[in-house]
Amino acid sequence: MIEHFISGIEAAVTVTNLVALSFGALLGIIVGIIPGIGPMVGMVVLLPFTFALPPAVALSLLLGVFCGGYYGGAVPAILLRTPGVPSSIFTSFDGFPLTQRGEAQLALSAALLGSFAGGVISVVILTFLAPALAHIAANFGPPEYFSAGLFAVTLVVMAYRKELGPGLLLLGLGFWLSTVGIDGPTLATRYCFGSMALRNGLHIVPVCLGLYGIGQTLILVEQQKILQTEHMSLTRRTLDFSKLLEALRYWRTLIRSGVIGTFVGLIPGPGSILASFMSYEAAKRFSKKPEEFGQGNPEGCLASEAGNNAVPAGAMIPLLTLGIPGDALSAVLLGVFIINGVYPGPLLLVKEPVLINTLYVSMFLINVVAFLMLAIWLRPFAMVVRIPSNLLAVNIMIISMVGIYAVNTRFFDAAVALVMGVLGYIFLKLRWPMVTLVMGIILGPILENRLRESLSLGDGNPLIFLSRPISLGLVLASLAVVVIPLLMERAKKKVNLH
Amino acid sequence: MAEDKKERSRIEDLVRAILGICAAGILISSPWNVDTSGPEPFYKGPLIFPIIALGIMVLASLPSIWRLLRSTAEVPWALGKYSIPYKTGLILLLLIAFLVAIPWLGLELSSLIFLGVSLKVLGYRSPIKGILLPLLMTALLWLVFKQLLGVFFPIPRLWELLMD
Repeated sequence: MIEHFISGIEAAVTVTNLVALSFGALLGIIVGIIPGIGPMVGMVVLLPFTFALPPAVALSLLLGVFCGGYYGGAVPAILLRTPGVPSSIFTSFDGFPLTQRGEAQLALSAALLGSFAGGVISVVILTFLAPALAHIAANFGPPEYFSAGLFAVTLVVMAYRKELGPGLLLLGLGFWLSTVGIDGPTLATRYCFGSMALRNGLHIVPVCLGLYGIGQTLILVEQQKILQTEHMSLTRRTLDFSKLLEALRYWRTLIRSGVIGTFVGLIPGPGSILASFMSYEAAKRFSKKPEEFGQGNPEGCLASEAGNNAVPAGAMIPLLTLGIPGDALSAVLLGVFIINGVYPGPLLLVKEPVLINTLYVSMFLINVVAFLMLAIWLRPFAMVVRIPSNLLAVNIMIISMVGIYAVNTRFFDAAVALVMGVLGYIFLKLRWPMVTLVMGIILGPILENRLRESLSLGDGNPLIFLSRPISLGLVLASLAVVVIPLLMERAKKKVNLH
Repeated sequence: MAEDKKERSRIEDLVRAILGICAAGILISSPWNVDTSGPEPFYKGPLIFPIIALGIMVLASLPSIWRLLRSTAEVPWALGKYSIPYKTGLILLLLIAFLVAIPWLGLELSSLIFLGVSLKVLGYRSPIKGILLPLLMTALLWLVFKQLLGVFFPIPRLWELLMD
């Protein structure tokens, strides 16, 4: 155990890995700061470049963007009341009033300290909880894996239950897209429509890059909104480190929010917005002066940021131990694992202990690097918001297109990305939960194989899912996730009618 | 929580219905589009999962088809406050043209033209943003993809024609 951890540290502090995670964090902060872009676009744009890298380095690069995005999101939320990432909206509730009072440095210190503490706490929990969960998951057979996947998918769809129809439709579309090409177990061709190029299936890179890299940037092209930055005042170029000590008074809130964020991140579906919201509300509830929340209380910034920054490591727990992603970002990470021939699951911790420990250490280092980068180059980073988003969009598009071509040197992939880009644009415009589409594409092959293996075990009898206790529990939990909220909403409507 | 309320539009129902009808069409034609000649029973075969996936799509689109068939005049066709996105359409066309142009003009010239025209369409006419930025970006693409990653790009056909 200890020797694996030491090997992990050695692998994490290699020059290549440090450069990758620092570059990832830098890009993450930038895409996090610019409203409308976010870490997902940053991650998918980098996807083609990960093919040339070893798995640990590729994952460090993408994790850098994942975590760095949440760090960056707080900056415009505090300075301009415009959250860079959606979950930073709660940071703006107290951050912007503090900026208006001339205390932007205190708000930013609290947010950065919160982000750092949330990130570190969640990595510590991940390190201890992942082996325990993997131990439980080691008893899983195909029916349990299928039921766990079903549970995760149900949670994600129900997290967007206001868009239940579109969510289900996109999930089905994702599942179907994952079946195009030659079927691995039977070598049968599926839905190739006579195209030779489609026989290889739809590769995850053009699909995800199209949906987010092209789709999101087509939306950005339309944005003419220029952020009002003339009141964006920072007393100094760097972070005022004396304010960090002031923010450290709220250490209880830091720990509580980090734990809340990790456990919310662990559950597929809710994501960083809920983590941020719950941490903020908990801080308000436990505060001696709850009335100050929303008026410019640094504790609010700290709680919200600690909550959302704990999500990436939290989301890694089910991803590493069960191979189940909780959101679109970790679904892309799962795709990168699979592309590199690494299959997440309980055996991963046994088979690839050095890789796992490298990831733990890298995640810790990403938090240190992102914190230091923002603390030292606070003003230059804050100025990034002045870059017009449509100018950036055009450049992201061209990098995406050339990047997709570069993966297999096939123009067909770039054409797939364009089609996906148009679909992504339409879905984003309709505000449909695209996360279910990405989950469907990436989880589709895993669920399909587990389903067929389970049915083979049961000689074609689907009751096999109900005949094993863990699987039965997960199926019942999936049912409960669907039925309970619907019953509650019905009861609420009845009460309102009376 | 913090999300602003979404206005309903019939466009949304239309998109759902189109996707659902396409899914139904593919579902019906599945036996011809999937090679089921193998000896595996249905539950081990290549058709079970696509049927589930397409079935989910069809079921999820049924309410929209129902709403579209009923006359609900109170729900508008317009999608919120959005108008027809001409600029987006133009940028998309330019992106398609860029892709088609790479084999003919090469990466550098295609990128330069795409960026130059796109930025002009978006209203950037100053020399720095309109000329210098496309040049810098093209140089960056050439450096990263051709020099650092060594990605193969076909020799421009126009170049070959000129040489002939």
